Amino acid sequence: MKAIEVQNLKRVFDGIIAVNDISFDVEEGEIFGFLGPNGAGKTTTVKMLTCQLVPSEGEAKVFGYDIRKECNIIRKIIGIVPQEASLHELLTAEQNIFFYGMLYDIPKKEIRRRAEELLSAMELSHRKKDLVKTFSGGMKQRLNLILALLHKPKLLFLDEPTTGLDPQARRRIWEFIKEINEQGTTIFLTTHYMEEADNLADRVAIIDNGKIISLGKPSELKRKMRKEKILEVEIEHDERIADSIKTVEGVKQLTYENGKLRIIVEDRKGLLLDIVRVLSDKNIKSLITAEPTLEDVFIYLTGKRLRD
Amino acid sequence: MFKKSLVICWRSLTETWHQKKLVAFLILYPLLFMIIFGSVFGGENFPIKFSLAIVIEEEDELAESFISIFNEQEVIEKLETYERTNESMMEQAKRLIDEDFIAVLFIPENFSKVMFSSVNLSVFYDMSADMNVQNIALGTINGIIEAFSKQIAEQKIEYAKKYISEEEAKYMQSIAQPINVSTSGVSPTKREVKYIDLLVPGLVGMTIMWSGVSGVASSLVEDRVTGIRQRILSTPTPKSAMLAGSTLAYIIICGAQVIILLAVAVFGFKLNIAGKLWMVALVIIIGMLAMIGIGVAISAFTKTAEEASQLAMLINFPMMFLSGIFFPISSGWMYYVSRVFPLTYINESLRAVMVKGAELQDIVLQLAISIIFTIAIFIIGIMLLTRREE
Repeated sequence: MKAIEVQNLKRVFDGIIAVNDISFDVEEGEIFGFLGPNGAGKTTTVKMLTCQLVPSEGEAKVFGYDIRKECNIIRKIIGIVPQEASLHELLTAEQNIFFYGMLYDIPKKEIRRRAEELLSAMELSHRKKDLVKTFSGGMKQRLNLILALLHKPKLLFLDEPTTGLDPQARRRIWEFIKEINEQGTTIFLTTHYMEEADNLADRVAIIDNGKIISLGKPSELKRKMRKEKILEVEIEHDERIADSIKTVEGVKQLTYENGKLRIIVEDRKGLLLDIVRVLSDKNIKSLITAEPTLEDVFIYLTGKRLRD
Repeated sequence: MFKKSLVICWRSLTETWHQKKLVAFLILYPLLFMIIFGSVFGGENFPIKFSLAIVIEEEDELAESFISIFNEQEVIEKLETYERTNESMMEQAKRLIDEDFIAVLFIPENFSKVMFSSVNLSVFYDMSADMNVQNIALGTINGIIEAFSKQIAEQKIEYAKKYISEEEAKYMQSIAQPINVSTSGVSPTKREVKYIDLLVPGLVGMTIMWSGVSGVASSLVEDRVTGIRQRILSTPTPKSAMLAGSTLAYIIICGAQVIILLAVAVFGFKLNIAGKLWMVALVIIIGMLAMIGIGVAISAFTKTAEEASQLAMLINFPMMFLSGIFFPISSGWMYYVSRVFPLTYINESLRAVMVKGAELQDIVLQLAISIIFTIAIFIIGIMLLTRREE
């Protein structure tokens, strides 16, 4: 059975199209990545699939249940980790768990058992009696995961689960997500971090301006760029460099970040030499060729970066 | 649904409990209000008393017995007699009123001639005094004069009986006293009504207004802004359970405040509650629901908790002054404005129950209006919220 089936889903807010006629399926047991910049329509899609928002047009099913008519059943089989860490800061971790456990109609004994199990899995047992407002971002996000997993959902929605976390905390969350998935939970993950999608997702849909512009395994998506190469040039940046490089035949896209020019080029003989010639009077600190990442795919497809 | 409402309510109460400062404020608020208002106004007792100066031109037995009647009056807290000076009556009266007498009574020199002819007494009173005090002073003085002149009339008739028949005596009596009135001031309860008894129902109204309207509005908006509302609604929890749970939590918090306030009033300021306690509770709970309903509607109108508390303020201030919390409003354009606010009806019912010991049938109209308002404002609030979330 498909975990999610979406057909021509559309949502309009006051005349602005947030999600524009998208269709895709999510297989049971996979981690499905929904990759796109802020405002692309990721959260709106999640809200529709989790019965928090009614679609303007189109159909969608979650484990065969209609998101328009069967929300009562859907709510019981899905778990949601919302984008804002919507925790009760003035309750303890344990009280947060008790609260959501009761709302999911889990018997008290079972809540206690699940709480112990999940708290130790997420390495939060030692802080369970503390108010959530004293927690770090990573700890909050781990508690967020616990709350979404209490009722053993078949499908877990993670909306930007690592936004604002430091790299270490982020990797930790990734490990937990993989573990949860290995135990059989299907995961729908939205993110604007391409490393996250690259690292976790079995399949990725790239969404921009409310439309899915590409969908497939990360390796497949990258293979779309098999005719292209990536050049990374460490150099002092000024606008004229970018303009002059763009005039070189075969240069497709160009971005500048963290002191590095990242240039997507056609695989053409002599192109590297042409670029070096343009930069001849500049101080090139390093120049390497790199494998395309999902970010490159995104830049290649849309002409803009994921994070602005 | 019921169990989930309780869980939602538990959550709000626990969150409140974890904010030690907030708990302190919630307790201090009714405590301070009661102590401040109680100390400022608590001393003023009913019935009101007044001070009287009596100016005598010439002392005699009759004048003395006349003054002694004034002396017996509890309502006169201070009675002094003075001799007539060379000033005009008006001047002397003014001087005495400046010395803080509410009224001045002049007894003329030929007072004892009252047995054979009629005499004129003059009364001056302080027009700047409290209306209630003026009324009581004049009423008391006139009452005593009337009673005294009736006594004199009877003595005269008794004397005349020596010369006339029984029939003629009766006729004379009817000339002297065509109508006999007996007026007595009665307090609504066995004990006397004090200002504190009138004040406390208003303070209760104010407490439920502030906690209900601004408390509910900002906490509901807060939940929406932080995404907690959406998160709770993404679990199998109906919206109605959320609303019921939050409402219940506020009834408990606000109820505790009211109980503190009443406890301080009863034990600290000898508040006397004339009516039945269950009726006091009934009126207060209906009042809380009406205020919570306003809070719900405000939450649907505003985007942030700050906006919500500002709007609550905008509604609360006029409501506070125009719904009879501090003084009953019985006339003028303000009367019609006051009829708009549900708190007016709550205050009226609460006063009726607590001060006069009114029964359910006495306040049925006010309660009906309050309940209709509550239902209407809840429906409006829920409709606005639903429209917002679609």
